[in-house]
Amino acid sequence: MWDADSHSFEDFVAARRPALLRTAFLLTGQAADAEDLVQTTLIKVVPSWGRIKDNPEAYVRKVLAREATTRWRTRRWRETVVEHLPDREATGPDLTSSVAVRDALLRLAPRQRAVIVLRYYDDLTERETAAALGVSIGTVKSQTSDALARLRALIPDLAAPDGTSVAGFRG
Amino acid sequence: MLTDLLEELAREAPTGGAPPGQLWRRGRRMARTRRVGTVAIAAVACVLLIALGSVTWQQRAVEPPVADTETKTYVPARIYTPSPFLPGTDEQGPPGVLIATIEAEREGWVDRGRGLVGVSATTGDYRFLDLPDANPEYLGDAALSPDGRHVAYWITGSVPDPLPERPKVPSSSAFSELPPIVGYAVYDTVTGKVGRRVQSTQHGLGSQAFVWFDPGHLAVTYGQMRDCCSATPNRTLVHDLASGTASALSVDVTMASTNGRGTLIDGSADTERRTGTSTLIGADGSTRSVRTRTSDASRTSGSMFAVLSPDATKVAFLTGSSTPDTVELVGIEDGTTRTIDLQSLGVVAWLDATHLAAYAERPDDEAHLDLLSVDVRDGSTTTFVRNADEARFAINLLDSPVRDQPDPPEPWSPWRITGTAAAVVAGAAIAILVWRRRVGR
Repeated sequence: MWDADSHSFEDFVAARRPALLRTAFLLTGQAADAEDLVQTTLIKVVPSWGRIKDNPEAYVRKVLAREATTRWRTRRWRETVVEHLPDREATGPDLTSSVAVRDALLRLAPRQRAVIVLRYYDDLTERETAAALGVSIGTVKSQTSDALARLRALIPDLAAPDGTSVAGFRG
Repeated sequence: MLTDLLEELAREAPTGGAPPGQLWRRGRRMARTRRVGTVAIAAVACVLLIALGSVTWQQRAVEPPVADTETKTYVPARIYTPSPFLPGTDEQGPPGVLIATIEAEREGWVDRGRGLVGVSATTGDYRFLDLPDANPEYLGDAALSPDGRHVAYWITGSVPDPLPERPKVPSSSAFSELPPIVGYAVYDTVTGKVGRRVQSTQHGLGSQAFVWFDPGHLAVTYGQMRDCCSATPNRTLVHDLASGTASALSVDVTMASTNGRGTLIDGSADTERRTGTSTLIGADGSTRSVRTRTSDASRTSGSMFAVLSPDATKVAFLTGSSTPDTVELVGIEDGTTRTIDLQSLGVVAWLDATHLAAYAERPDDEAHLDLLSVDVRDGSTTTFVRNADEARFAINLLDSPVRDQPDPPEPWSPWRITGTAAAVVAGAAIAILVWRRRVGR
């Protein structure tokens, strides 16, 4: 039985680890931390694998999201929050470059960051996001609103032309 | 656009990681470690709970019932202040022959009040007496028979015309919120049986006194409540336990003390001062005036201060105007008087023809009194019960051998037991949670 579980786990890891790493990278902002987070998540789900193996994705993502937010409380992630974003050219595409987005994400609170990543990268609904983080839907809404406001301030180009919304939203 | 930016940023994510097989093995190892720690913490918690339960059970362990009245009796070398959480006879059964009773605080889950503790004459065990229909407020009147076999107490109930509730007046049961006294009962400490004697009363009885003539005859004095503040003149009955009959007695025994062998002596100082005599009262109602004028006219009155010898030939008085006072002996037949060089706070009983039991202050602890055995021939004393002032003794058993009986248990309050158990469970739960989180990191 363990062998069968082991094989299905290894298959899952082989198939889904790249996606998990991408989400983890957005959540942590560091490659090493992302690897660490995914590895920890995968190790943590092993004891429950027999129960979740038929549909492990949601459970694994829940562990990943919660691990990302709870570890912030223990200050494990090596975040470097600076007072001001690095100076950049006043014009050109750099304002919305990967570096700028990553820096802006890192300036969000971990739960706000997780909400943004889960809602706008993993494409989860508010209900799914709330379930993944173990919070209420109302909290998801308020955290989303706050996070978007902060992102707009940090990355002005994110603002929609009418200045009221952020382009490219789904959900 | 945000989605696009996130997707673009996510392309920078790493792609490596430990081999899946290694992750699986580490996960299994973590699960084992978690499980072992969880089981260990749960086991420790179980051990603590078992220990708590064991201690609680031992504190409330049922003593074997003492059904044989011939079992050897002892006088405890020390009287202890009972724990308010001691078990009662409802839980543990009758205590057997008692050497003493102690009125004490009693507490449970929510209730708190007075209780009567019986001290076993055979085992030294302490146990609250659950006396049916007793009211805690009246337990101060309860009287232990001279042989420690029975306890007499007032019983309460409903009456045809209860007195209206009014502000409480001291020393008047009529004004209290307590149910009225409707009679008395006698509890058998060996069998646990209760014999009730309900009296005819309109408003309730005004309780006065119980005095045992001997182990088989109980004198009961009471009046009938007339209104809120007064009662009819006292009436005295003699209750014969063997036949179950009660006969009227023409004398008031409120201030009398017993020799435990069938005779009371009216300890009222008024009688003695007026006539120079005291009254000996028999269980059959016979009375006899005896000359007991002592050398000291300021004799202290009250049943605690005059005791009659077992053969009813000598009386010991506490005399004097100071505290403590000296003890004086009067020979009833020959009228001789003699002062014993002893400072006492009360005489309890005669132990035999030549020894008295008397209270005296402890030199090192004025808060408690010891019971002394006084040799009336030479005035020599021996302390035989320490801290005896809270107890009322079965006087016919006071000549039993003295023994160091075990300390009574000090059971925890049910709140404390429950709180400790809850704390252990909560502590274990927190420990398991912390352990599992720590292992998962």
